[in-house]
Amino acid sequence: MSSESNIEKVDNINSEERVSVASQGQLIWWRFRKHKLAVFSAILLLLLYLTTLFAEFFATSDPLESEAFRGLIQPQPIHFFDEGKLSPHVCAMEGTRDPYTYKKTYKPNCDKKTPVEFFTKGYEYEWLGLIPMDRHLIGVPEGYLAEEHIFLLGTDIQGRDMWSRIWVASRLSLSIGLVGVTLTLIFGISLGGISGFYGGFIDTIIQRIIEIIRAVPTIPLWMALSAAMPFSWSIVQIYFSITLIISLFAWTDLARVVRGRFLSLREEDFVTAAVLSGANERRIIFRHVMPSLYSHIIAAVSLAIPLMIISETALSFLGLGLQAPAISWGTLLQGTQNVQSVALYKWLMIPAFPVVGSILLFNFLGDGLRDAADPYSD
Amino acid sequence: MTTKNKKDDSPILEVTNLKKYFPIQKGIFKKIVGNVRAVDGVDFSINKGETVSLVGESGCGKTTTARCIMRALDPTSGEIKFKTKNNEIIDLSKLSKDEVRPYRDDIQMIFQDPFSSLNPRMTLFDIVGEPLLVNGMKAKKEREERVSEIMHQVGLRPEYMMRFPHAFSGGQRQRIGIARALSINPSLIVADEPVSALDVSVQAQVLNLMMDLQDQLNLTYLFVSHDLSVVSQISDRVIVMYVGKIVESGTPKQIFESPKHPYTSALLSSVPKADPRLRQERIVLKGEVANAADPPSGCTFRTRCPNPTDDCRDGNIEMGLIEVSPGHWVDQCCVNCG
Amino acid sequence: MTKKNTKIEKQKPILSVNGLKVHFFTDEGTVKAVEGASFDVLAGRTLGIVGESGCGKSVATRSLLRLVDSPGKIVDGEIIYRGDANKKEINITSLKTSGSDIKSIRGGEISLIFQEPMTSFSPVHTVGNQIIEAIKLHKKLNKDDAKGLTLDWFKRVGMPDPEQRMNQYPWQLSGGQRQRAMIAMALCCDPKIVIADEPTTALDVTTQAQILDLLKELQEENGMSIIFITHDLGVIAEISDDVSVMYLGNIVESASVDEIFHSPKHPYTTGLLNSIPSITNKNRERLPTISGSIPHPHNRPSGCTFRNRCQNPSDDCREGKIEMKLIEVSPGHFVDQCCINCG
Repeated sequence: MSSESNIEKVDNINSEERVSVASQGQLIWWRFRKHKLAVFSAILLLLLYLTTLFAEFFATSDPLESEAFRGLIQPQPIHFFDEGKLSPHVCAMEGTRDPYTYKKTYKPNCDKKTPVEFFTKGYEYEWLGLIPMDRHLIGVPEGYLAEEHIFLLGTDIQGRDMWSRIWVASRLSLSIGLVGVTLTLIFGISLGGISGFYGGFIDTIIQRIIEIIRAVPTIPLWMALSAAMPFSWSIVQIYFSITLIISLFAWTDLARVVRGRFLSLREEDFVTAAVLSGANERRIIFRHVMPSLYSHIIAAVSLAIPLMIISETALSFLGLGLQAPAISWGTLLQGTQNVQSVALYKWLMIPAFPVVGSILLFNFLGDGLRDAADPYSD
Repeated sequence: MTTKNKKDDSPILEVTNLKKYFPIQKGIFKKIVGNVRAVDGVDFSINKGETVSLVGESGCGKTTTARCIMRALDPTSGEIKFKTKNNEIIDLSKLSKDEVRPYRDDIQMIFQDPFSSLNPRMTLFDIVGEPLLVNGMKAKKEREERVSEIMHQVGLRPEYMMRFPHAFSGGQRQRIGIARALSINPSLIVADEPVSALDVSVQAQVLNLMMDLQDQLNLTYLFVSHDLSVVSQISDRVIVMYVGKIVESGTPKQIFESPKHPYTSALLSSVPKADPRLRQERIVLKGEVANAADPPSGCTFRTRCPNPTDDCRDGNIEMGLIEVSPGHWVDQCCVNCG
Repeated sequence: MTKKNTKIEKQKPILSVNGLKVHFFTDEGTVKAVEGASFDVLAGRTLGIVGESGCGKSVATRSLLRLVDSPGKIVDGEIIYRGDANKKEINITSLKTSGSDIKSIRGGEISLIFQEPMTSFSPVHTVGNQIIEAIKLHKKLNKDDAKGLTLDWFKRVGMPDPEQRMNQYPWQLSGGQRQRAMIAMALCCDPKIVIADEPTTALDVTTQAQILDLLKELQEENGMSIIFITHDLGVIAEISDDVSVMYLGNIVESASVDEIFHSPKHPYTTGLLNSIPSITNKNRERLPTISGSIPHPHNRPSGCTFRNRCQNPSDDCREGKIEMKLIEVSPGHFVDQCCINCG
């Protein structure tokens, strides 16, 4: 058989030119696209992260401004029409104190209307900490009293607007996931990779460390570590030490996955082939083993971020993580630590919704990614 | 072992008393409690331009032998003398991993599984060109020319260079594997069951290709296979292994037409013939393949031998090859029981 | 074999498959795994189904037990089972996939031997117990009788130390012993038909020879029919009485084993036979090959699926105008109509 005739014989790969030259990334993307729920979640999450950049723009009032006159106001709907005309407004809340229980109750008084404007001027803030701005998506024109404001999701005990606080909190809570995951990735991949690739004594040591870390009960340890943080630290310092503490525990999972993959990839024929053709260790690791890990890493990350978010929320809720005046979903939920709020001020639990929602979205996304991530599985 | 050969008298590879033991470890302190003697004293040589086949059933040590020669495994003891392109004779078994690297371009391997042996994340150009790149051909243009030449040679269209392996069928992938092995002009190719994973019709195409390439490029093959029909087709010499040892070796004619060792005869009679009119009584061996962690003393085959001599049955005869006719070597215990 | 031949005249086939179509509905499109396969299984004989990977031989036989997994579906055709002369014919395609009817056929009437017995035995129960459970499921026997029957079968399949093996776990057995256990499990309920799906592919030649001999012996004792699926023509020649050759979901030729090997009519059959290396071939001779390779299942050619690789297709056939259909060229020898004259 001459090689000419061979060429003719082998030539029937016309199935799909597009697929033949598709790289790993493209194949993953094609498979991911088919996962409607995951794509939907990805878009929502992307929007969510985008909005955190503009959190103050969405806020209606200064999240830190407390006002005793307006403590614990219930959520207040916007009325869009006034006597048939389009004129968005909210009714002013009038508080009366119950003479027996001393509980303050608010009633909307629709005779006193506060107009609601879009793209209005409001409190001043620095966008991304750099550019001073005072525009907001919705707000109340200047000249109204503090209690004649708009409280879309009510106020907390100190009279701070929940709607605004949730928006601002999302920035810390969502970003802690990303920062934490980056740290986790660095620890997990390097330690897991070393463990799996070199094996032997180093592997045993790293595996024992992982086992010890996983055996430590986390909550007491978190308590100890956060107690060790000096009071004088700024919010930023505390924020980073919290992410560090969380990721110190979270890397073990990823390290195990990476180690397992390294172990099995080391035995793959194509890795052996590369070794036998004279490739050095660096090339084996970065050209052959690591690219085969990307899919696992993507999947691990999409599952690690929600874990980070939950951990931060749990820590802050327990008073071990971020502390007031820092605003995160966890610190907001601290306000619900009593029966009273559960029974009477239900809107204080609203910050739980973005937590649950974002974690669900991450899990849907993770599911889709995991299915799509290994395009060579079948 | 020396053999007279028609092609070239200088051995390119000479393996002497090669042993590979895998330790059996137990407990948390990984105490070594025994050894699996995967290869237990193997001697053979391959001359330039020859195809030598290692045959045997699973666990006989044929693949381990091949992997030791490739230095994918470190042999426990023995010598692997290899004649490089510069006619320098080196002992591969004594070199460290880094010392072996410069000689890698001279021995290449073809793998059994056409799917797992190609990195799915690399294009054909990267796969076939990798041996070139890591052995110093840095210029992309030069590599492209070489890759396209070799792809043409193995019957693949050079235009497919930028495709990924998932676009190809099993037979085509095996051609890619062959192209990769040949890209740096090795003199010795170790082929580990290169056609076992392929369908019959594709298998024939790949076998023909391998024979053509051998003629064109004066390659030397060490061909590892469990399939006697394939081996008879392609080999100049056949080595039959059983539980880590060679039990018989010779030309295909000697092995297939007048086998001397009872194991070879049993193997041959077990191969189903593709002709219903040739159905025959088979020599069915009793028992199972001996355990390589605890092989019988003396002749490893004595527990299954249909007709052992008394001394052999008691394990009194050591194994060792003797030449029964020119180039035909048989284990001494079984010369008379076949 | 002549004795068997006289039998065929008198009886209807125990199993008839007519125009079976099994399609897999995947995201990338419909894969026509089996596209109109027809074959008969005769009582007490062995039907060998041979073909290369992806030809649909496993899917076709799995549908006999309704074991085709989603997204696969039987879209057309009928499978008529005539297990008992006194009972009514059963059309297996009309049964529910998880109903009691098909369950009583599975294992009881038609049983399956897999390629890799390791995956078909549960690793957490002893081999003996798993077979005892299977017996209790299909036969009304108490535990002791079932145990006795299992031991009896272990002896019949030639298991060394049968008593001891009964109490071992699958991973403690060697490949050959596991396959023997698998055969014991498949046969313990006296099925009328045994489907053997590449039962010897994972085994070494010497073990393969033992297993083939065992199957033949057991067939002589029990008189069951065997459907033997393999890609290995040597094994087919060894064990079958009748052979069907499959290519891309169709049966392209079927005949007695002697006819297939000595007067094949279809170019694919001839090509396959020529491309087998053989010990009797001349050393280093180039093997004749079939040109081209099997098309991707998404690119099934219309008309005759083999036309792109056919050396000598008729004009109509080359253009895909002739539908595939088996016609009888001599008694008992069926060939696809496109390729009768091009072989």
